[in-house]
Amino acid sequence: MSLANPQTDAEDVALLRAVARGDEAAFARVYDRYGAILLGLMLRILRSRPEAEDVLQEVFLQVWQQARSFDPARGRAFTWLATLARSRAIDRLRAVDSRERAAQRSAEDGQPVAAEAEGWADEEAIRAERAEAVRAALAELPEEQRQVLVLAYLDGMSQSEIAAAKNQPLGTVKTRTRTGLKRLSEALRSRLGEQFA
Amino acid sequence: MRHEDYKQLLALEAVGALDEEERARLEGHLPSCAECREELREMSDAAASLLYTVAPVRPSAELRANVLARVRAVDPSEVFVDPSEVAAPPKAVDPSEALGRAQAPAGPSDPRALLGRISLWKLFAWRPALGFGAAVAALAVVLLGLSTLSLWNRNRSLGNEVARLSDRLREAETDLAGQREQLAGARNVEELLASPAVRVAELSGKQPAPQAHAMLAYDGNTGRAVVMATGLPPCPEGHAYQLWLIADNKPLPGGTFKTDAQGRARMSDRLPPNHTAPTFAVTLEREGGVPKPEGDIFLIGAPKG
Repeated sequence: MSLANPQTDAEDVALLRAVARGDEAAFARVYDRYGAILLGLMLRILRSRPEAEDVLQEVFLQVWQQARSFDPARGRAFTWLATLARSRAIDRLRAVDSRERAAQRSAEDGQPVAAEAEGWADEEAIRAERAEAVRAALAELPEEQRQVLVLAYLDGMSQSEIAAAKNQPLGTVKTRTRTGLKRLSEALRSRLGEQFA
Repeated sequence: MRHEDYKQLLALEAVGALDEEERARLEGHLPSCAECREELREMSDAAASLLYTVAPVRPSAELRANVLARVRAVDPSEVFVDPSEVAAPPKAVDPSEALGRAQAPAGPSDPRALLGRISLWKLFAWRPALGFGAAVAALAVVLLGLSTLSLWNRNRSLGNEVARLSDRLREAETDLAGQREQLAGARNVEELLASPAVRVAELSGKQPAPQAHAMLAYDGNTGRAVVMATGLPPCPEGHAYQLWLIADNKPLPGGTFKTDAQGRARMSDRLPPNHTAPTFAVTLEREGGVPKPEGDIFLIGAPKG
Protein backbone atom coordinates (compact mmCIF):
# COMPACT_ATOMS: atom_id res chain seq x y z
CA MET A 1 0.00 0.00 0.00
CA SER A 2 1.46 3.35 -0.94
CA LEU A 3 1.92 6.11 1.60
CA ALA A 4 -0.64 8.88 1.77
CA ASN A 5 0.43 11.95 -0.15
CA PRO A 6 2.10 14.54 2.10
CA GLN A 7 2.37 16.87 -0.85
CA THR A 8 -1.39 17.31 -0.76
CA ASP A 9 -1.33 18.27 2.91
CA ALA A 10 1.35 20.93 2.39
CA GLU A 11 -0.58 22.25 -0.60
CA ASP A 12 -3.72 22.50 1.50
CA VAL A 13 -1.87 24.61 4.06
CA ALA A 14 -0.56 26.90 1.31
CA LEU A 15 -4.03 27.17 -0.20
CA LEU A 16 -5.63 28.18 3.09
CA ARG A 17 -2.91 30.75 3.67
CA ALA A 18 -3.62 32.15 0.22
CA VAL A 19 -7.35 32.21 0.94
CA ALA A 20 -6.61 34.16 4.10
CA ARG A 21 -4.91 36.77 1.89
CA GLY A 22 -8.04 37.04 -0.23
CA ASP A 23 -6.88 34.82 -3.11
CA GLU A 24 -10.06 33.81 -4.97
CA ALA A 25 -8.32 31.28 -7.18
CA ALA A 26 -6.97 29.45 -4.13
CA PHE A 27 -10.44 29.51 -2.59
CA ALA A 28 -11.96 27.99 -5.73
CA ARG A 29 -9.28 25.31 -5.61
CA VAL A 30 -10.18 24.41 -2.01
CA TYR A 31 -13.84 24.25 -3.02
CA ASP A 32 -13.11 22.00 -5.98
CA ARG A 33 -10.88 19.76 -3.92
CA TYR A 34 -13.14 19.27 -0.90
CA GLY A 35 -16.62 20.48 -1.77
CA ALA A 36 -17.80 17.03 -2.81
CA ILE A 37 -16.52 15.26 0.31
CA LEU A 38 -18.03 17.92 2.55
CA LEU A 39 -21.36 17.75 0.71
CA GLY A 40 -21.28 13.99 1.25
CA LEU A 41 -20.90 14.61 4.98
CA MET A 42 -23.70 17.20 5.00
CA LEU A 43 -26.02 14.75 3.27
CA ARG A 44 -25.17 12.06 5.73
CA ILE A 45 -25.85 14.25 8.76
CA LEU A 46 -28.81 16.26 7.44
CA ARG A 47 -30.37 13.77 5.01
CA SER A 48 -31.83 16.55 2.88
CA ARG A 49 -30.21 17.77 -0.32
CA PRO A 50 -31.51 21.36 -0.13
CA GLU A 51 -30.41 21.72 3.49
CA ALA A 52 -27.08 20.08 2.81
CA GLU A 53 -26.36 22.47 -0.07
CA ASP A 54 -27.46 25.40 2.05
CA VAL A 55 -25.09 24.51 4.85
CA LEU A 56 -22.30 23.82 2.35
CA GLN A 57 -22.60 27.42 1.14
CA GLU A 58 -22.42 28.70 4.71
CA VAL A 59 -19.40 26.53 5.35
CA PHE A 60 -17.47 27.89 2.41
CA LEU A 61 -18.42 31.45 3.25
CA GLN A 62 -16.99 30.78 6.67
CA VAL A 63 -13.86 29.28 5.09
CA TRP A 64 -13.42 32.54 3.18
CA GLN A 65 -13.92 34.70 6.22
CA GLN A 66 -12.08 32.62 8.79
CA ALA A 67 -9.15 31.16 6.86
CA ARG A 68 -6.88 33.40 8.90
CA SER A 69 -7.73 31.47 12.03
CA PHE A 70 -6.38 28.22 10.62
CA ASP A 71 -3.34 27.16 12.64
CA PRO A 72 -1.29 24.28 11.23
CA ALA A 73 0.00 23.49 14.75
CA ARG A 74 -3.49 22.36 15.73
CA GLY A 75 -3.92 19.84 12.93
CA ARG A 76 -4.03 19.37 9.19
CA ALA A 77 -5.86 21.76 6.89
CA PHE A 78 -8.33 19.00 6.02
CA THR A 79 -9.04 18.57 9.74
CA TRP A 80 -9.81 22.29 10.03
CA LEU A 81 -12.22 22.10 7.09
CA ALA A 82 -13.82 18.91 8.39
CA THR A 83 -14.32 20.36 11.87
CA LEU A 84 -15.81 23.58 10.54
CA ALA A 85 -18.16 21.75 8.17
CA ARG A 86 -19.23 19.21 10.75
CA SER A 87 -19.96 21.92 13.35
CA ARG A 88 -22.20 23.85 10.97
CA ALA A 89 -24.04 20.68 10.00
CA ILE A 90 -24.58 19.73 13.64
CA ASP A 91 -25.76 23.25 14.46
CA ARG A 92 -28.31 23.06 11.65
CA LEU A 93 -29.33 19.57 12.73
CA ARG A 94 -29.99 20.67 16.29
CA ALA A 95 -31.77 23.83 15.21
CA VAL A 96 -34.53 21.89 13.51
CA ASP A 97 -36.94 19.58 15.32
CA SER A 98 -34.99 16.40 15.73
CA ARG A 99 -37.77 13.94 16.38
CA GLU A 100 -38.20 12.99 12.73
CA ARG A 101 -34.49 12.72 12.28
CA ALA A 102 -34.07 10.52 15.33
CA ALA A 103 -36.74 8.19 13.96
CA GLN A 104 -34.89 7.96 10.65
CA ARG A 105 -31.58 7.29 12.29
CA SER A 106 -32.38 4.65 14.84
CA ALA A 107 -32.52 2.13 12.01
CA GLU A 108 -28.95 2.88 10.85
CA ASP A 109 -26.13 0.64 12.04
CA GLY A 110 -23.38 3.20 11.62
CA GLN A 111 -21.47 1.75 8.69
CA PRO A 112 -19.57 4.10 6.40
CA VAL A 113 -21.62 4.65 3.25
CA ALA A 114 -20.08 3.14 0.13
CA ALA A 115 -22.24 4.68 -2.57
CA GLU A 116 -20.98 5.72 -5.99
CA ALA A 117 -18.48 8.49 -5.90
CA GLU A 118 -19.19 11.60 -7.95
CA GLY A 119 -16.15 13.67 -7.08
CA TRP A 120 -13.47 15.01 -9.43
CA ALA A 121 -11.26 12.33 -10.94
CA ASP A 122 -7.77 13.16 -9.62
CA GLU A 123 -8.96 14.20 -6.18
CA GLU A 124 -11.10 11.07 -6.14
CA ALA A 125 -8.03 8.91 -6.66
CA ILE A 126 -6.34 10.37 -3.60
CA ARG A 127 -9.51 10.14 -1.56
CA ALA A 128 -10.11 6.52 -2.56
CA GLU A 129 -6.58 5.59 -1.58
CA ARG A 130 -7.01 7.19 1.84
CA ALA A 131 -10.47 5.70 2.24
CA GLU A 132 -9.00 2.29 1.80
CA ALA A 133 -6.34 2.97 4.42
CA VAL A 134 -8.89 4.33 6.88
CA ARG A 135 -11.26 1.39 6.38
CA ALA A 136 -8.41 -1.04 6.93
CA ALA A 137 -7.42 0.81 10.10
CA LEU A 138 -11.04 0.83 11.28
CA ALA A 139 -11.21 -2.91 10.73
CA GLU A 140 -8.57 -3.32 13.43
CA LEU A 141 -10.99 -1.93 16.00
CA PRO A 142 -13.57 -3.99 17.86
CA GLU A 143 -17.03 -3.57 16.32
CA GLU A 144 -18.49 -1.56 19.21
CA GLN A 145 -15.65 1.00 19.15
CA ARG A 146 -15.87 1.37 15.39
CA GLN A 147 -19.61 1.92 15.60
CA VAL A 148 -19.54 4.66 18.21
CA LEU A 149 -16.86 6.56 16.30
CA VAL A 150 -18.82 6.49 13.07
CA LEU A 151 -22.13 7.31 14.75
CA ALA A 152 -20.57 10.21 16.64
CA TYR A 153 -18.42 11.73 13.93
CA LEU A 154 -20.06 10.88 10.62
CA ASP A 155 -23.69 10.62 11.67
CA GLY A 156 -23.56 13.51 14.11
CA MET A 157 -25.14 11.70 17.04
CA SER A 158 -24.44 12.94 20.54
CA GLN A 159 -23.03 10.57 23.14
CA SER A 160 -26.44 10.45 24.86
CA GLU A 161 -28.21 9.66 21.60
CA ILE A 162 -25.79 6.83 20.91
CA ALA A 163 -26.24 5.48 24.42
CA ALA A 164 -30.01 5.48 23.94
CA ALA A 165 -29.88 3.94 20.46
CA LYS A 166 -27.50 1.19 21.52
CA ASN A 167 -29.01 0.70 24.95
CA GLN A 168 -25.69 1.26 26.68
CA PRO A 169 -24.71 3.40 29.67
CA LEU A 170 -23.35 6.83 28.76
CA GLY A 171 -20.05 6.05 30.49
CA THR A 172 -19.53 2.98 28.29
CA VAL A 173 -20.13 4.99 25.14
CA LYS A 174 -17.59 7.61 26.23
CA THR A 175 -14.97 5.01 27.08
CA ARG A 176 -15.45 3.28 23.74
CA THR A 177 -15.11 6.61 21.93
CA ARG A 178 -11.85 7.39 23.71
CA THR A 179 -10.30 3.97 23.32
CA GLY A 180 -11.54 3.63 19.76
CA LEU A 181 -10.13 6.95 18.61
CA LYS A 182 -6.78 6.30 20.24
CA ARG A 183 -6.58 2.93 18.51
CA LEU A 184 -7.63 4.39 15.20
CA SER A 185 -4.95 7.05 15.48
CA GLU A 186 -2.28 4.41 16.17
CA ALA A 187 -3.50 2.16 13.37
CA LEU A 188 -3.47 5.01 10.87
CA ARG A 189 -0.01 6.07 11.88
CA SER A 190 1.40 2.59 11.57
CA ARG A 191 -0.15 2.15 8.12
CA LEU A 192 0.56 5.52 6.66
CA GLY A 193 3.42 7.07 8.56
CA GLU A 194 3.62 10.19 10.72
CA GLN A 195 2.27 12.62 8.17
CA PHE A 196 -1.16 11.10 8.03
CA ALA A 197 -2.56 11.05 11.56
CA MET B 1 -10.11 19.57 37.55
CA ARG B 2 -7.05 17.34 37.61
CA HIS B 3 -4.91 16.95 34.54
CA GLU B 4 -6.20 13.40 34.06
CA ASP B 5 -9.74 14.78 33.79
CA TYR B 6 -8.72 17.11 30.98
CA LYS B 7 -7.06 14.24 29.13
CA GLN B 8 -10.35 12.34 29.26
CA LEU B 9 -12.00 15.16 27.37
CA LEU B 10 -9.61 15.18 24.42
CA ALA B 11 -10.97 12.29 22.34
CA LEU B 12 -14.53 13.46 22.91
CA GLU B 13 -13.60 16.94 21.74
CA ALA B 14 -11.98 15.47 18.63
CA VAL B 15 -15.24 13.77 17.62
CA GLY B 16 -17.26 16.85 18.55
CA ALA B 17 -18.94 15.24 21.53
CA LEU B 18 -18.30 17.84 24.24
CA ASP B 19 -20.96 20.27 25.38
CA GLU B 20 -20.33 24.03 25.60
CA GLU B 21 -19.28 23.95 29.22
CA GLU B 22 -16.87 21.05 28.88
CA ARG B 23 -15.36 22.57 25.78
CA ALA B 24 -14.86 25.93 27.47
CA ARG B 25 -13.12 24.17 30.34
CA LEU B 26 -10.82 22.31 27.98
CA GLU B 27 -10.08 25.48 26.01
CA GLY B 28 -9.04 27.08 29.28
CA HIS B 29 -6.55 24.28 29.94
CA LEU B 30 -5.00 23.92 26.48
CA PRO B 31 -2.94 27.13 26.26
CA SER B 32 -0.81 25.95 29.18
CA CYS B 33 -0.45 22.27 28.30
CA ALA B 34 1.61 21.18 25.28
CA GLU B 35 0.98 17.50 25.99
CA CYS B 36 -2.78 17.89 25.70
CA ARG B 37 -2.48 20.14 22.65
CA GLU B 38 -0.38 17.51 20.89
CA GLU B 39 -2.74 14.68 21.79
CA LEU B 40 -5.74 16.73 20.68
CA ARG B 41 -4.02 17.38 17.37
CA GLU B 42 -3.48 13.65 16.80
CA MET B 43 -7.03 12.78 17.86
CA SER B 44 -8.51 15.51 15.65
CA ASP B 45 -6.57 14.38 12.60
CA ALA B 46 -7.60 10.76 13.22
CA ALA B 47 -11.27 11.72 13.58
CA ALA B 48 -11.21 13.87 10.45
CA SER B 49 -9.72 10.98 8.49
CA LEU B 50 -13.05 9.17 8.94
CA LEU B 51 -14.36 11.67 6.44
CA TYR B 52 -12.40 10.00 3.65
CA THR B 53 -14.74 7.03 3.88
CA VAL B 54 -17.77 9.18 3.03
CA ALA B 55 -18.72 9.01 -0.64
CA PRO B 56 -18.28 12.44 -2.23
CA VAL B 57 -21.29 14.00 -3.92
CA ARG B 58 -20.46 16.64 -6.48
CA PRO B 59 -22.35 19.88 -5.77
CA SER B 60 -24.31 21.42 -8.67
CA ALA B 61 -22.64 23.99 -10.89
CA GLU B 62 -25.10 26.61 -9.62
CA LEU B 63 -23.91 26.00 -6.08
CA ARG B 64 -20.34 26.65 -7.09
CA ALA B 65 -21.34 29.84 -8.86
CA ASN B 66 -23.35 30.96 -5.84
CA VAL B 67 -20.51 30.32 -3.43
CA LEU B 68 -18.03 32.28 -5.55
CA ALA B 69 -20.49 35.13 -5.99
CA ARG B 70 -21.16 35.37 -2.25
CA VAL B 71 -17.48 35.36 -1.53
CA ARG B 72 -16.91 38.24 -3.94
CA ALA B 73 -19.69 40.17 -2.26
CA VAL B 74 -18.02 40.02 1.13
CA ASP B 75 -16.82 43.42 2.30
CA PRO B 76 -13.10 42.96 3.09
CA SER B 77 -13.61 44.84 6.35
CA GLU B 78 -15.95 42.07 7.46
CA VAL B 79 -13.21 39.49 7.22
CA PHE B 80 -12.47 38.35 10.70
CA VAL B 81 -9.10 39.30 12.12
CA ASP B 82 -8.16 37.58 15.35
CA PRO B 83 -6.08 40.16 17.25
CA SER B 84 -3.71 37.47 18.52
CA GLU B 85 -3.02 36.39 14.93
CA VAL B 86 -1.82 39.80 13.79
CA ALA B 87 1.37 39.50 15.82
CA ALA B 88 1.89 35.76 15.14
CA PRO B 89 5.46 34.63 14.55
CA PRO B 90 6.33 33.16 11.13
CA LYS B 91 4.99 29.63 10.75
CA ALA B 92 7.05 26.55 9.88
CA VAL B 93 5.66 25.96 6.38
CA ASP B 94 6.79 28.43 3.76
CA PRO B 95 3.66 28.84 1.62
CA SER B 96 5.47 30.53 -1.26
CA GLU B 97 7.62 27.42 -1.78
CA ALA B 98 4.63 25.13 -2.08
CA LEU B 99 2.81 27.58 -4.32
CA GLY B 100 5.84 27.94 -6.57
CA ARG B 101 5.88 24.17 -7.02
CA ALA B 102 2.17 24.00 -7.64
CA GLN B 103 2.35 26.74 -10.25
CA ALA B 104 5.31 25.37 -12.26
CA PRO B 105 3.87 24.54 -15.68
CA ALA B 106 4.61 21.23 -17.36
CA GLY B 107 3.28 19.26 -20.28
CA PRO B 108 2.62 19.65 -23.96
CA SER B 109 3.69 23.25 -24.22
CA ASP B 110 7.25 22.25 -23.32
CA PRO B 111 9.31 23.25 -26.37
CA ARG B 112 11.90 20.61 -25.64
CA ALA B 113 9.28 17.96 -26.40
CA LEU B 114 8.33 19.65 -29.68
CA LEU B 115 11.90 20.02 -30.84
CA GLY B 116 12.65 16.43 -29.86
CA ARG B 117 10.24 15.30 -32.54
CA ILE B 118 12.06 17.18 -35.24
CA SER B 119 15.32 15.23 -35.28
CA LEU B 120 18.15 16.65 -37.32
CA TRP B 121 18.47 13.38 -39.25
CA LYS B 122 14.92 13.62 -40.49
CA LEU B 123 15.54 17.19 -41.64
CA PHE B 124 18.47 16.19 -43.78
CA ALA B 125 16.78 12.95 -44.86
CA TRP B 126 14.18 14.62 -47.06
CA ARG B 127 16.47 17.32 -48.17
CA PRO B 128 17.98 15.90 -51.42
CA ALA B 129 15.43 17.73 -53.61
CA LEU B 130 16.02 21.07 -51.95
CA GLY B 131 19.75 21.41 -52.05
CA PHE B 132 22.40 22.89 -49.83
CA GLY B 133 20.94 26.36 -49.33
CA ALA B 134 17.71 24.99 -47.98
CA ALA B 135 19.63 22.66 -45.67
CA VAL B 136 21.52 25.64 -44.23
CA ALA B 137 18.26 27.51 -43.78
CA ALA B 138 16.75 24.49 -42.04
CA LEU B 139 19.77 24.23 -39.77
CA ALA B 140 19.48 27.92 -38.97
CA VAL B 141 15.86 27.40 -37.99
CA VAL B 142 16.83 24.56 -35.67
CA LEU B 143 19.65 26.53 -34.08
CA LEU B 144 17.30 29.46 -33.57
CA GLY B 145 14.85 27.03 -32.03
CA LEU B 146 17.48 25.74 -29.61
CA SER B 147 18.45 29.20 -28.45
CA THR B 148 14.78 30.09 -28.08
CA LEU B 149 14.43 26.96 -25.97
CA SER B 150 17.19 28.03 -23.64
CA LEU B 151 15.69 31.52 -23.35
CA TRP B 152 12.27 29.98 -22.76
CA ASN B 153 13.58 27.87 -19.89
CA ARG B 154 15.35 30.80 -18.35
CA ASN B 155 12.19 32.85 -18.70
CA ARG B 156 10.17 30.14 -17.02
CA SER B 157 12.51 29.79 -14.08
CA LEU B 158 12.60 33.57 -13.73
CA GLY B 159 8.83 33.54 -13.88
CA ASN B 160 8.72 31.06 -11.00
CA GLU B 161 11.19 33.21 -9.09
CA VAL B 162 8.96 36.22 -9.65
CA ALA B 163 5.94 34.28 -8.48
CA ARG B 164 7.74 33.24 -5.28
CA LEU B 165 8.94 36.75 -4.57
CA SER B 166 5.56 38.28 -5.24
CA ASP B 167 3.98 35.80 -2.79
CA ARG B 168 6.47 36.88 -0.14
CA LEU B 169 5.72 40.49 -0.95
CA ARG B 170 2.01 39.86 -0.59
CA GLU B 171 2.60 38.29 2.81
CA ALA B 172 4.62 41.26 3.95
CA GLU B 173 1.97 43.61 2.62
CA THR B 174 -0.73 41.72 4.50
CA ASP B 175 1.21 42.08 7.74
CA LEU B 176 1.70 45.77 7.04
CA ALA B 177 -1.98 46.12 6.24
CA GLY B 178 -2.79 44.51 9.58
CA GLN B 179 -0.68 47.06 11.39
CA ARG B 180 -2.15 49.93 9.40
CA GLU B 181 -5.58 48.60 10.28
CA GLN B 182 -4.78 48.90 13.95
CA LEU B 183 -3.56 52.47 13.47
CA ALA B 184 -6.61 53.32 11.39
CA GLY B 185 -8.73 51.84 14.14
CA ALA B 186 -7.27 54.33 16.58
CA ARG B 187 -7.93 57.17 14.16
CA ASN B 188 -11.49 55.91 13.64
CA VAL B 189 -12.13 56.34 17.30
CA GLU B 190 -10.90 59.95 17.21
CA GLU B 191 -13.02 60.81 14.17
CA LEU B 192 -16.02 59.09 15.62
CA LEU B 193 -15.82 60.96 18.90
CA ALA B 194 -15.57 64.22 16.99
CA SER B 195 -18.86 63.65 15.16
CA PRO B 196 -21.84 65.76 16.36
CA ALA B 197 -24.24 62.82 16.32
CA VAL B 198 -22.13 60.49 18.41
CA ARG B 199 -23.60 58.82 21.49
CA VAL B 200 -21.43 56.99 23.96
CA ALA B 201 -22.72 53.99 25.92
CA GLU B 202 -21.24 52.08 28.78
CA LEU B 203 -22.06 48.36 28.65
CA SER B 204 -21.98 46.28 31.80
CA GLY B 205 -21.38 42.57 32.15
CA LYS B 206 -24.26 40.17 32.69
CA GLN B 207 -24.30 36.84 34.54
CA PRO B 208 -21.93 34.74 32.39
CA ALA B 209 -19.27 37.44 32.85
CA PRO B 210 -20.16 40.03 35.51
CA GLN B 211 -16.61 41.39 35.38
CA ALA B 212 -16.90 42.25 31.67
CA HIS B 213 -17.19 45.88 30.63
CA ALA B 214 -17.31 47.82 27.38
CA MET B 215 -17.42 51.34 26.03
CA LEU B 216 -19.21 51.94 22.76
CA ALA B 217 -19.39 55.00 20.56
CA TYR B 218 -22.17 55.16 17.96
CA ASP B 219 -22.55 57.77 15.24
CA GLY B 220 -26.27 58.06 14.50
CA ASN B 221 -25.63 59.74 11.15
CA THR B 222 -23.51 57.02 9.60
CA GLY B 223 -24.11 54.04 11.87
CA ARG B 224 -20.37 53.76 12.44
CA ALA B 225 -19.53 52.39 15.84
CA VAL B 226 -16.49 51.44 17.83
CA VAL B 227 -16.67 49.12 20.80
CA MET B 228 -13.88 48.40 23.29
CA ALA B 229 -14.45 45.54 25.67
CA THR B 230 -12.51 44.08 28.59
CA GLY B 231 -12.97 41.15 30.91
CA LEU B 232 -14.65 38.85 28.40
CA PRO B 233 -13.82 35.15 28.69
CA PRO B 234 -12.20 33.54 25.63
CA CYS B 235 -14.66 32.23 23.05
CA PRO B 236 -15.11 28.48 22.86
CA GLU B 237 -14.07 27.03 19.52
CA GLY B 238 -16.48 27.75 16.70
CA HIS B 239 -17.94 30.77 18.47
CA ALA B 240 -17.46 34.52 18.51
CA TYR B 241 -18.98 37.52 20.27
CA GLN B 242 -21.56 39.45 18.27
CA LEU B 243 -22.65 43.06 18.65
CA TRP B 244 -26.34 44.02 18.45
CA LEU B 245 -28.21 47.30 18.21
CA ILE B 246 -31.61 46.95 19.83
CA ALA B 247 -34.20 49.42 18.60
CA ASP B 248 -37.91 49.17 19.41
CA ASN B 249 -37.16 45.87 21.13
CA LYS B 250 -35.82 44.44 17.87
CA PRO B 251 -32.22 43.29 17.90
CA LEU B 252 -30.36 44.26 14.72
CA PRO B 253 -27.18 42.28 14.01
CA GLY B 254 -23.74 43.84 14.01
CA GLY B 255 -20.29 42.41 13.45
CA THR B 256 -18.48 39.62 15.29
CA PHE B 257 -15.22 39.73 17.22
CA LYS B 258 -13.00 37.71 19.51
CA THR B 259 -10.88 38.66 22.49
CA ASP B 260 -7.12 38.67 22.75
CA ALA B 261 -5.28 36.61 25.35
CA GLN B 262 -5.96 39.33 27.96
CA GLY B 263 -9.70 39.25 27.41
CA ARG B 264 -9.76 42.58 25.56
CA ALA B 265 -11.36 43.28 22.23
CA ARG B 266 -11.81 46.24 19.94
CA MET B 267 -13.99 46.38 16.88
CA SER B 268 -14.97 49.00 14.34
CA ASP B 269 -18.37 48.23 12.94
CA ARG B 270 -21.10 49.63 10.77
CA LEU B 271 -24.48 49.42 12.45
CA PRO B 272 -27.82 50.57 11.08
CA PRO B 273 -27.85 54.40 11.33
CA ASN B 274 -30.50 56.86 12.49
CA HIS B 275 -31.52 55.14 15.69
CA THR B 276 -32.08 57.72 18.39
CA ALA B 277 -32.72 55.56 21.44
CA PRO B 278 -30.61 52.47 20.87
CA THR B 279 -29.57 49.83 23.35
CA PHE B 280 -26.42 47.85 22.62
CA ALA B 281 -25.70 44.23 23.53
CA VAL B 282 -23.01 41.63 23.02
CA THR B 283 -23.91 37.93 22.87
CA LEU B 284 -21.93 34.74 22.29
CA GLU B 285 -22.87 33.17 18.97
CA ARG B 286 -21.60 30.83 16.27
CA GLU B 287 -18.50 32.03 14.50
CA GLY B 288 -19.55 34.05 11.51
CA GLY B 289 -22.56 35.52 13.29
CA VAL B 290 -26.30 34.89 13.21
CA PRO B 291 -29.24 37.00 12.00
CA LYS B 292 -31.13 36.70 15.31
CA PRO B 293 -29.51 36.37 18.72
CA GLU B 294 -29.43 32.85 20.14
CA GLY B 295 -26.63 32.85 22.71
CA ASP B 296 -26.23 34.32 26.19
CA ILE B 297 -25.98 38.07 26.63
CA PHE B 298 -22.59 39.08 27.97
CA LEU B 299 -22.80 42.85 27.84
CA ILE B 300 -25.65 45.35 27.62
CA GLY B 301 -26.10 49.07 27.96
CA ALA B 302 -27.49 52.28 26.47
CA PRO B 303 -26.31 55.87 26.13
CA LYS B 304 -27.40 58.07 29.02
CA GLY B 305 -29.82 60.95 28.46
